[in-house]
Amino acid sequence: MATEALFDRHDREATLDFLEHVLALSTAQQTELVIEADRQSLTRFAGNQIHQNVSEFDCRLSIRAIENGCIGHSSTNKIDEDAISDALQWARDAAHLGNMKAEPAEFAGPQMYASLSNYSQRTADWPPRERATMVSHLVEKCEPKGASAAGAVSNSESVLAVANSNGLRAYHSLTDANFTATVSVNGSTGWCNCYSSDALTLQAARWGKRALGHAVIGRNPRPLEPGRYTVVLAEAAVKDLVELLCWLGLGAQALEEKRSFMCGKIGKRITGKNITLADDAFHPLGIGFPFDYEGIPKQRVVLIEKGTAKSVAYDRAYGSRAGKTSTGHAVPARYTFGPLPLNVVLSPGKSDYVEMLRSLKRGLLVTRFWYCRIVDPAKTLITGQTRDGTFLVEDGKIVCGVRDMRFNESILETFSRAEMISRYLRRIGSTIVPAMKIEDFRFTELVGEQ
Amino acid sequence: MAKSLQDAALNCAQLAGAEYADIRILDMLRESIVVKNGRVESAYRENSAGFGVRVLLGGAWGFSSSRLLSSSEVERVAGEAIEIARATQIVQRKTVELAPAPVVQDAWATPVTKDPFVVPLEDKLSLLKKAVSSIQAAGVSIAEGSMNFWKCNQAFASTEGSRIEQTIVHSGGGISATSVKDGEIQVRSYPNSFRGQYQSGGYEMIEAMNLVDNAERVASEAVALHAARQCPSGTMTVILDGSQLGLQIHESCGHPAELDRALGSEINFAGTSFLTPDKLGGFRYGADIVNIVADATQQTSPGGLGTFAYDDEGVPAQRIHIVRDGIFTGYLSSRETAREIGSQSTGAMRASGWNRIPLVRMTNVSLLPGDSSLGEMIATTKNGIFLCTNRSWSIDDKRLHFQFGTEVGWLVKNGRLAEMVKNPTYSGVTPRFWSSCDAIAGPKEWVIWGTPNCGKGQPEQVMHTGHGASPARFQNVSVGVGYGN
Repeated sequence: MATEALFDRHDREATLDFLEHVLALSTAQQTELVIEADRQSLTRFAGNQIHQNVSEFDCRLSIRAIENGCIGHSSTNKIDEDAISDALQWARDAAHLGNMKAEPAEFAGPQMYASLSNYSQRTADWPPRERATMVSHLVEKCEPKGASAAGAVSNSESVLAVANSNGLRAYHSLTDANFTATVSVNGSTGWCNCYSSDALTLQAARWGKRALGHAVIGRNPRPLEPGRYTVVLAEAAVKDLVELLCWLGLGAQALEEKRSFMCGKIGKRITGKNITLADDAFHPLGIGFPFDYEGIPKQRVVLIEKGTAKSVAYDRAYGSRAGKTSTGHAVPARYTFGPLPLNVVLSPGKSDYVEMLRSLKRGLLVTRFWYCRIVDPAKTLITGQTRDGTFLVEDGKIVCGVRDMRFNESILETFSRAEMISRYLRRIGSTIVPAMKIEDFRFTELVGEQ
Repeated sequence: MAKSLQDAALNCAQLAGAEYADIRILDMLRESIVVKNGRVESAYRENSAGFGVRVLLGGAWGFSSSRLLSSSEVERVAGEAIEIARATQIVQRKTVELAPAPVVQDAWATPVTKDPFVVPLEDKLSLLKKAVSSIQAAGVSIAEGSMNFWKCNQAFASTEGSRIEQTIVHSGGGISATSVKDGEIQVRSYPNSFRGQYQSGGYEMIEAMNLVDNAERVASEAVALHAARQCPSGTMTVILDGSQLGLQIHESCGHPAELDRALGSEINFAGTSFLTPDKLGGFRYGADIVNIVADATQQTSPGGLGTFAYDDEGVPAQRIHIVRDGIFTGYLSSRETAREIGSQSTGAMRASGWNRIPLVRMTNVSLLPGDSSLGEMIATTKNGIFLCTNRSWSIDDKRLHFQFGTEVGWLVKNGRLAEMVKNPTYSGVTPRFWSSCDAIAGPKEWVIWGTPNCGKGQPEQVMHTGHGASPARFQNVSVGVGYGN
């Protein structure tokens, strides 16, 4: 059996041949195999020096077996005959013993996939020396100003392949790179985060310079009274709100269990008319696979259109229960939270960042949030705090840095008060968002004081 | 086989000039079972094995890892770790030095009465289905029960001569009732929220939980919460149950006591700490009755998720005071971070798997029991609130300002538990909050709670930590934040 060289050459045919071989070993009535293979490296720095520098290579083989209408599941990263036989047997036994109903009763048949190009060989092979050089450029900018840089530079290569006994075969590989930095000057911090599927287009110098600039102008932050402020939320802050909204109610499980804010609201207004949210794995700025963990092609799903609730993401099980077809949003079977939109795009508006700041008579510019958690799921009420660059803006100009504050806000209500939305989008992780200007954002307490 | 692979890695690193290297070979097994509304949602087993090689070359770290357990792959990975260490030297301002550690050759295993991986799947499902059925009978929307088991066989070797083998077993489970009514979602859980209670040990801990006996109560409380009054807002006396206090300790004491955070190496992700080294030994963290230990030892923390014999760089498990009589006295540390403050490692380096480097993590960070009791605390409270079972948590990046929510609260009036209230929240500032602690329940009510989902590091590592706690009382706490205008 092919083993060690399987993914080193990033070989589609070798991977699918391997899966054919495992399917032939299976004695279950139906079998589904998923390969998740990752090679990733990360260079971490703090105090203007690299302090952690790591690399890993893993490959997980997940097996689902259907016996007499029931399903069992196992996985292993030991790609040898004995370990695979054990995993196949456990999945089959679990199907017999667990009495876990397979929904639908059969795995999907062959599918057609749209092409998606997000692989860069030079990113997959990006050496540690290049990552270190990227760090050194930021450190050289920071040290003369008495600033201290911390952060991480990473590159990764991921393979997802699906094969089942009903003839479905799917394979895709992608790469991603990330640069993030926190720059500190006299206790004031600035922050940046940028992604690209091609490491050489990260623009780390540009974003690092911005983090340094924010740290410098944020020195000696002023405490403000908690209360309602008009805010301009940079993309990273918007991303936290969007991702929590997806988790709270834009997957089919939450809708089926009536936990979702979408429940009873499909076709009705739930937020501002300028809010359109869709899941789109094929967006030009995006990163993702063209199919899900069941091998179903990912569809573009409009979740909220001009403020009106439209739909949620489905996999095959939740789709079959709801009388819908899968939208290609199955997550790995080891997770029990059901299908989720993971390539979400919040549609752009017509403004730009500078216009939004200029329109602020008195308000705050928020770089990012931290530790956002759900307080009341039905109300989409969450809490969190500002971090690494919060500024008072008066008459369209940044006046000074301000002390961080805790907020408690309903995400849907926040999106109903979006006065301006940037026409420029950025990808943060796998989520694509604009900056937004929000009226009356509710800060409840000042943080950071002993 | 493990020894020959270890030798190959360490030899390769030394030949390349490394002044220190270690290798960890792990074989990890996990089982996860979920039953929801009578239907089996998951019956899953996962096996993951591999190794990680850490080298120190010219005072700079390099680490690489792989799932392939072969001599050629070990040599390739050790060589890659050396190449990575050389890259680290490009941006190096000081050389890493390690505090001394004893050279150890030993083996240890979590005491287990019933191996959870031998207990038949049918038995586990039968127990969960029975408990879930009792919850469903109360008419809630979602009745759920779950179990999770982990077993990790690990072999550590270092160029200093240490060779340590450990088998660590963790088990956990719980039930929850979710009631959805009139646009409101209410949840009650047992023994704890977010899928229950977790400890080191075997299936015997699942059997001791009495999941079925608690199912009906949990369900009826979830339903009753809809009719309960909204938790009032204001400053009042708060009594926390042990499970909520466990998470309060985790967030507001455990994390800020991590020395790597205090030294700034986590600033870009997890944040820093208000417990900076200048505060060590003199800073008033809490009231005189507050004593908090980091205790990884089997002798005094049996059952903790942070209980082991040696940490992941071979340092023996220890019990140290983080807070003694209210004063901040100690850190969770590694050999590297301890050296930076002129100290010894407190044995808190832990990695989430074979593919991750060890980081400074919590072991079992516990509030030592006091001399009160829950009954006595309630009886001596004129006007307050008793808060149970975590629902949400958020704390700032220096671990100072926090806001927690719990599943349920009961008002305390004139020494008695009064009406149930829903959606309770409270907030505070860590040293002020702990300084307001005026009563801690005794050893009879003290339990080691498990937190199996602690995130830290880049790439992120999810760690299992333990927190011993008994109910405790705090004065002048801000309650009911978050709701309102």
